[in-house]
Amino acid sequence: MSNVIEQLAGLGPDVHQPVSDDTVRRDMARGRAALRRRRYRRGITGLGATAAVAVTAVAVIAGQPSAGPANTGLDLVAYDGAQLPGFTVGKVPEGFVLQGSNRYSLDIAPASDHSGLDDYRGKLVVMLQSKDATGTPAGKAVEVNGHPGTISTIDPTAAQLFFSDGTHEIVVQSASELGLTNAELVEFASAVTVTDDAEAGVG
Amino acid sequence: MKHDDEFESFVRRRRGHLVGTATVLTAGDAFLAEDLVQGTLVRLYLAWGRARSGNVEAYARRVLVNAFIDHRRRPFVRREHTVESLPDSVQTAGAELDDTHLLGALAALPPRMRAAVVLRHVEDLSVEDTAATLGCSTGTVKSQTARGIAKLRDALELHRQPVTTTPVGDLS
Repeated sequence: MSNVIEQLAGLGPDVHQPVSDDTVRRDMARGRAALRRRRYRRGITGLGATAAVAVTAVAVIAGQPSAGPANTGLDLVAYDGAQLPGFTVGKVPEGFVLQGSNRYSLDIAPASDHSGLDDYRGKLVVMLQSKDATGTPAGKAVEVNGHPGTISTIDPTAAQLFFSDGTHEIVVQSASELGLTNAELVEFASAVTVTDDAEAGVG
Repeated sequence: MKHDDEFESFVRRRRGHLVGTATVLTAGDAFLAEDLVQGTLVRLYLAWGRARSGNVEAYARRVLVNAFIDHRRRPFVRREHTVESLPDSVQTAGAELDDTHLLGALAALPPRMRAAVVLRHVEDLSVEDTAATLGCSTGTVKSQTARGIAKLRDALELHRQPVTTTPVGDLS
């Protein structure tokens, strides 16, 4: 029996193979993608959802049409500041800045927001559609620069605009508390361009 | 970015070990081992805040073993996949585990028994740590590993028996 135990010990996994940068990058990308999916599913709880419900309630009381999220007063303004790797934008919500980008996403947030780039709460985010995404997302059909797009509001806490620029499949996610209308989402997306630095996530 | 930095550091430090453990758990199936480790790291990334507050390595090991047992529980497991590109890394672990008889015998063990044997005698965990990883009592670990080792011994004995032929009839 001891021979078997010795043999088992010989299988010991105490290997110290170097982990390649590419493997680490893919592990990180899978984790980020899973986090993104979970946020899509769970939504942004708390303030965002409460604000969306409250704003919608006000709109209903006032007899406004409820075709989409009510506008909270955030307007899109032209952006002519420095661009970041991955995506360039021509417009941003008033008072927002390009918070940062990595090869997977560009985060646009209020200047006072110091959260990490993987935290999409209260932000407008641009990314490429996941490499592993399948099927066409359900939602309202729109057109972005003559290309088909879809705005999904399945997630009550964030609207997602899926569209193509003819070369890339792009996703713009707008947290509900921003209150951007569908038309504003399309207006924003129309001024987005993808650069060579952008990379689609996986998962 | 503290979360990402810490996670990246963990991946660089412990991924090789996790792949090694997974490869033995899967009895040398390096591709399944890689799948299990990838899934484990995703779950770990999602739970990093909670995991890092305790023993991250034990947490990762527990997630990996659960993933392995869950995988084996599936009534139908699709084992062959077509892929557009090569896997993340060269699959060398299977090649290193050249004790094919032992791995073959391990493969015949039920998943929880195999996990108990691997954690206890390959990972060299204590009975208590093995029990904590598997979420069972120390008594269960002892009985599972004893039975597992006995089965492995029987299987290996079978391989060691010389092949003999018995003469039939009168050869004179």
